[in-house]
Amino acid sequence: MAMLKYRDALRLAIKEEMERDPLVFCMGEGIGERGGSYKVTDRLYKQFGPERVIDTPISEASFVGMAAGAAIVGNHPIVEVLFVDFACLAMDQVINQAAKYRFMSGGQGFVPMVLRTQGGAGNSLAAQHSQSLEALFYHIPGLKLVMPSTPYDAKGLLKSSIRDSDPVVFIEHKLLYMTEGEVPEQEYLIPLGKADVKREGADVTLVTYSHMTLKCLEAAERLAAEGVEAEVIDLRSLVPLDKECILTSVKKTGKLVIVHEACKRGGVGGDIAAMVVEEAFFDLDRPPVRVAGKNTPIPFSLNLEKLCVPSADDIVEAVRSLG
Amino acid sequence: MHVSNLGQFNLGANGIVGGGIPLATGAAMGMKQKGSLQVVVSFFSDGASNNGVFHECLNMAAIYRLPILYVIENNHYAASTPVEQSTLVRDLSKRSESYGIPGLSLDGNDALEIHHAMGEPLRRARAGEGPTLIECKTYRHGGHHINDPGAYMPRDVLNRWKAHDPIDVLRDHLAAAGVTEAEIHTIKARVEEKVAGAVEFAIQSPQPSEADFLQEIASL
Repeated sequence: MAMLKYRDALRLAIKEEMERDPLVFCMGEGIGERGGSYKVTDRLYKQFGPERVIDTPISEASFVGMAAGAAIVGNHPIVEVLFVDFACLAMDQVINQAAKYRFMSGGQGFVPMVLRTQGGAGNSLAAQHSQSLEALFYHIPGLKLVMPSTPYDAKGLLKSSIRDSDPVVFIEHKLLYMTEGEVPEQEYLIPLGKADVKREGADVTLVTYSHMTLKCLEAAERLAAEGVEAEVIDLRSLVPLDKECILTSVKKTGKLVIVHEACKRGGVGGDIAAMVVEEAFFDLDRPPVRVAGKNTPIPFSLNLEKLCVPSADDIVEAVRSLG
Repeated sequence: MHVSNLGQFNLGANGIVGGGIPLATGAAMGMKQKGSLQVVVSFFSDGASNNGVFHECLNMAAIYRLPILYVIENNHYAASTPVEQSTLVRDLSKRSESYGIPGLSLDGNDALEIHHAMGEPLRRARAGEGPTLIECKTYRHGGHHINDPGAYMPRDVLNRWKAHDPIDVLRDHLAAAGVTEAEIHTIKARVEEKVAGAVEFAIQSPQPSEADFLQEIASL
């Protein structure tokens, strides 16, 4: 075991996969000699060279599409979109091309690419650099969607994503890059589609992902002091979704609180709540509750930015409100 | 909309105008990575050459020296919009200069002219020197789709282009090279039989199985 930062766990995953398979390569803005804005690709240029760690011009639509094209002919590209907000420039290539190529070609071709990106608020980077856009990708058949919260999950899931034969949107969180956690020295993979119960409890189910997992764990500690034991489920994969894990927990606790940083309207939480009501109505003792980001672009001012994102207090309040 | 045949290296047509240009460029990047000598040819329209990804991709193919040919089939219309209305540049191949790569404009209805012109672009691509932009000038024989009569196409221009039909042009080249009327007739008959066979196969083929489809998508 080693204590690794989230960003270094990601870097190791990429490094190991590039060592294992000469067809894996990286492309993105500033990922080469500069090692990436968050240093995830640090030193990879030195090891693998400009042929496999490719700096791109500011041409998101095209270089995301190029990743799809390279994947179709058998390569395994990892394309980095520096901020998830910029993925909006590439939406035709993600939604109309990468997500649909396998289907449209009748299964003749497939698209084993990973679109690595980063989102979330917390660094006073304002409206166009702080969004949580996972709901857009969640909605598109043909895409997989992964959002790890710990270094351990990040490494195992990124390796699996790189080996997956479908396009995977892999969304990191900017506040997680410097967080530390234990990571095994030996190789391991985490399959897509399996959630992780980060904390067991019998009184309420907290379903969450990405940075909010940390907030939920914090809230769970405070609730424990009040005698309420919360079960924290970190989804890790949004598509495929580990429905069984959620339903098993709800059966046990009867109470569901879904927490995500993205705003409530059209968020992933609505889909999960509807699914639980549809499939486990009689296991619920209370209606599901969603704790979500405020319905607004993210402000630049640090104090206002804080208000827009769920806090541990908000989560504790939501659990208390269930009675 | 999006027929493809990967077994014959045809990555397919695209329902998004210009949508295939990044895919082709990426395929060229993939080929280069694999050390392959295969060249990628990206076919698209005059309309697509106004799309953002056209410009981004030519630029990237140029800087990465990708083994790709970009072919604009300039049939002078994007649906009902004449190219003169959407684009001030007359010879679209001139756009290559913006990206530091060669460009050439050809008679898109003369297969032999095009064939002869391919030597240098292919050599360039295989030698790792990068892409070429090729404009093939041509014209539609009718409207944009089956329910579009093409009333916006001037009759005299249309008739001039129809008289310059690519199949007739090639036939004339063959005749000039000594191929007999009988041989030309045989080729024509063989192709017509093939096409008729394909149409018959399509008509006789069953609809796809609904049950299979529903089962397949259950795992998406």
